[in-house]
Parts: sequence; C-alpha cells; structure tokens
Amino acid sequence: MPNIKLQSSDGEIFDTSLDIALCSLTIKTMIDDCGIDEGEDTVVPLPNVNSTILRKVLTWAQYHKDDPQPTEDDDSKEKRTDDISSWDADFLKVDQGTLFELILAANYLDIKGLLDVTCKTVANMIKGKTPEEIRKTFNIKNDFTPAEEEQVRKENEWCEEK
Amino acid sequence: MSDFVVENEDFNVIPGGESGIAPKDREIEDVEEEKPIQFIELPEDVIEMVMKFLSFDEIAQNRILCRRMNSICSQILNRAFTKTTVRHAALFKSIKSMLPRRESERRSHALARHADILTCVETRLSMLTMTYSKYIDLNMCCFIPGKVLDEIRKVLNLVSTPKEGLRAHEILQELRDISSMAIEHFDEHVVNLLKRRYTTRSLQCMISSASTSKALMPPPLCIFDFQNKQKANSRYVYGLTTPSETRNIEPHLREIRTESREALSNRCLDAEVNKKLIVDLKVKNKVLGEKVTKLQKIQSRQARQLRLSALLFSRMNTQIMEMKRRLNEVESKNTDIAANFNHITGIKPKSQNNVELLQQVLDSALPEHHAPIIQPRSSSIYKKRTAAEILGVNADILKKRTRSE
Repeated sequence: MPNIKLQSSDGEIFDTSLDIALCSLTIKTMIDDCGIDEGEDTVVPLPNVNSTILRKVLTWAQYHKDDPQPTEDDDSKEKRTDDISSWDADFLKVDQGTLFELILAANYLDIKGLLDVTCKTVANMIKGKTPEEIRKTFNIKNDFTPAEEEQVRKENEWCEEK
Repeated sequence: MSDFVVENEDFNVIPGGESGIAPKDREIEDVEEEKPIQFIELPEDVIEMVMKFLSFDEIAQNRILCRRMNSICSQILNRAFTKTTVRHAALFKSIKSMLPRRESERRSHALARHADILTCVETRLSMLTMTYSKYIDLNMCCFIPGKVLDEIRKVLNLVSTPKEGLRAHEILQELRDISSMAIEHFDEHVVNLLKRRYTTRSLQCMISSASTSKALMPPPLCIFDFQNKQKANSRYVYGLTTPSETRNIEPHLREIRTESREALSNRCLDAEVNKKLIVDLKVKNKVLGEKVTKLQKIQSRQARQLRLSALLFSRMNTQIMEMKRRLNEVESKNTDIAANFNHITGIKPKSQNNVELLQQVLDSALPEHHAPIIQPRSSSIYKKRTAAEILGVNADILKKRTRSE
C-alpha cells in the first residue's frame, strides 16, 4: 500500500500508509477530489489538527484499520456506552483537553469509529452524575439567573416521586 | 510497531510563516492554545453527538447545567419529539397496511394488539402535542418530559418487532402514568410561570423598542433606487472600465450620489418624525397610565363602599329578624294577656283577633273606672315593659275615643 504525507496544523509531516489515512473520510474525499496519484510527493494539509492529536489519531487508526465499516446510526434505539474495548479505554485514558481535541479531530477527519468511542467516553463521564457533579467534572459555570434556574428546576419536577 | 513516520527535517515550516501570522502574534496564540479546551466550549454538533449516547431523561435533567446546555438539550428534546411522532405515524401506517380491511377479521389478526398499542400511543402523542407544541412554537419552553420520549421509544421498539402475544396493558401502563404526570404538572405548575415570563418579556421588548428610537433610523447605505438605475449598475457588472465608459457613467454616478443624498436627508426627516411620534406616544401613554391609575383608585374606593354597604345590609337584616322575632313574642304575650283579662272580667272573646279582643276588654272596663294596667306574667322584664307600653297606648287611645264620644 502506498504512503501518504499528512501535515498537521503546527507543520509536522506524518508519512503514513494510505489505508490508515483512508480511515478518515475527509482525507479520502480530498484524495478522490484532488486526484492524488500513487508515488506523488503531495502533502495533505490538515490545518485543524495539531501534531500531538494527529499522532494519536493515526495510532488509533492503525489499530482499527481492519475493523469493518461502521454502520449508520439508528436513532430508534438507545445507544450503548458500555461496549468500549479495553484497548480503546486504555487509549482514551488521557486528560479532558486531549479527549476533547480527539473528538474535534475525529469530527473534522470524519472518522466515525473514533468519534463514537470518544463521545461514549464523555457520555460515561456524564452518566449517573448529578448536575452539580457534572459541573465539577467539566468545570461548567452555572450562568443561569436564579429565576431561570428555578424555572428549569420547576419544569423538571414533574417526574419526582412523592 | 507504527506504520507512520514523522518527518521534520526537510519541510520548510517557518513558525507563523505560512499562515502569515507575525511571530509575536503567534506567541500570543500559543499562550492561548495552552489552555485546554473545555466541554462546554465544544461546537454544538459535537456536544449533541455526546448527548446522543444519553437517554432523553438524562438529557432533560442536564438542561440545568448552564444556559448553553439548556439550549442544546432543549433542541435535542424538541427534535426527538418530532421524530418520535413521525416514526409512530410511519409504523402505524405500515401495521395498518398489513391488517385486513374487515373489522371482524382484523380483531383476530396477529397484529391486532400492535395496532391497539399504537392507537393508544397516538392518543398520548396527541395529548402531549396539545400540551407542549403551542409553547414550543412560541419558543417559550421545550419538550420537557424526556422520560416520556424514552418510554415511547421503548414501546415503539417493542411494537416494531413482529412479536406475538403483546400485553397492551402492561406495555402501556408506564407510558400512561408518566405522560399524564407530565401533562398535569405542566398545566398546573409550568404554564402560569411561562405566561408570566412571556408577558414580562413582551413588555420589556415593547419598552426597549420604544425607547431606542435609533432602531427606526434607516441604514444610510445603499439608498439609491436600484430599479431606475439598472442601466448604470449593469455597466459596473459587466466591468466597463475604459475612459469613455467612465465618462459615460460619471453623470449617472453623480445622479445617484445626488439622489442618495436626497434620500438620506428624506430618511433623516422620517427618522425625526418617527422620533417625535414616539415622544408623543410616550406622553399619551403616560397620560393614559395616569387615567388608568385614577380609575383603579375610584374602583377600589367603590368596591370598599360596596363592601361596607353589604355589611350594613346584613346587620340590618339581622336586626329586622330580631325585631320580627320579638314582635311575634309580644303578640303571643298579648294573646296571653287577653286570655287573662277574659279570665278576670269573665268576657268571652268574640273574635280571635288580639287587638279586637283587647279593645273589647278595654271597652268593657274603661267607661266605669280606670282599670289599672295589669302587668303580664313574663320571665323577661323587657317583654313585660313592651307589653305594658302597648297596653298603655291602646288604653290611651280608647280613653280618648270614649271622651270624644
């Protein structure tokens, strides 16, 4: 399989196998549309991904390169979040900043598998927590006025058992 | 191990060179970049992707985190409600199409229960739509009960599988319960809040729009009439830039400038007029407000008077009742007294009427001698006195009559 060069936002060049790079639908589309041929020394610029994150993305893509194509989303069913493989779980044991950068990169590069697993990780960080705990976890500032907060609280009171 | 190689050596990457950012700016950017991105700073669609992995109930509960989350979660819930309605309609249609057309055959069909369940879900959806859609359309709230969406999804998933022997009651019990709870709570506790908030907001809008007269000022740009100057403009479009063309265009341009200046001054005049109108309206509003306050004061005064009058009426009624009762008592005492007189004087009553009886008694007693006023036997001194007075009055009248005769 031929190689392809990817340039991160901070100018680093990653020479990688084409089948790994093709995990990203964005890169695939760029290659298809621009008609990059084999053996050409063309560099694909990725201005929205820095080198640290691109390295991680390529590591993930290399591990999952033989995975079957992910299926389309089915909104009719609640999505599971407990099916993250142990490799992915270890891979995503990173600080929140990196995790969110990975989500952004996966979204930009259109890598559904990585996007799903990173989103599942964040969803697991939200599940089962009270709003105050979630605020603490993600450093979210409560910017409601007392009246607004009271209204949302009142609206959500409907299912509280007496 | 890894298939990719990082090249750093021969790619001419000058920091800030390619992007055209000056080194100092780049440093500032680097300092900014050091701050890790927060969850709440992620783009809306990315947050939505994360929220997709949560149940609708959890999404609804997370609205309280902050304003941004409230907005995103509200959008998700509204969209989910619409999608659920559409999904139900599609499923119901497909189930109906599989059922026989004859009612009798339909009842015994394997999908009859499915259709029953979907009918019930349809009713629930209609009730929910009636409750929430008006306020959702007005952007006053979102589809609040996420848990109901979860339950409907569960029911629809059950119905969409070709499973036989579905127990409609068991399946729908929870949905019935929670949807009713949500609707009742909304009607009883949330609607009033929303209405109050809506009124306040619309009033604020009115006040702010009235106070900012600048908002009525027209934008000073692009005022000339495009339709009339289409010809001149088309020259620009087709890029006629030769000196002769420029010379031809010049008068049009001058005309346009003059017109635009005129239009601008006209608009300024309009704005002035608008401003004056607003001031007039404000004065009128103030006067009307004062009138309303005065009328409200009068109304409250009258209401107070009305209340006092009603109180007086009720007191008088009580007094009248009391007097009536006393009159009855006095009358009964009179009857007793008359009976006593009869007994003392030995005159048989000709009539049952007390007054006649009294008169008869007095007629027989008065011409010869003044009969002493007989005090009736009574437990109450007051009653005695009243009876005595009546008797006294009667006796005086009769005395006068006899004297005149």
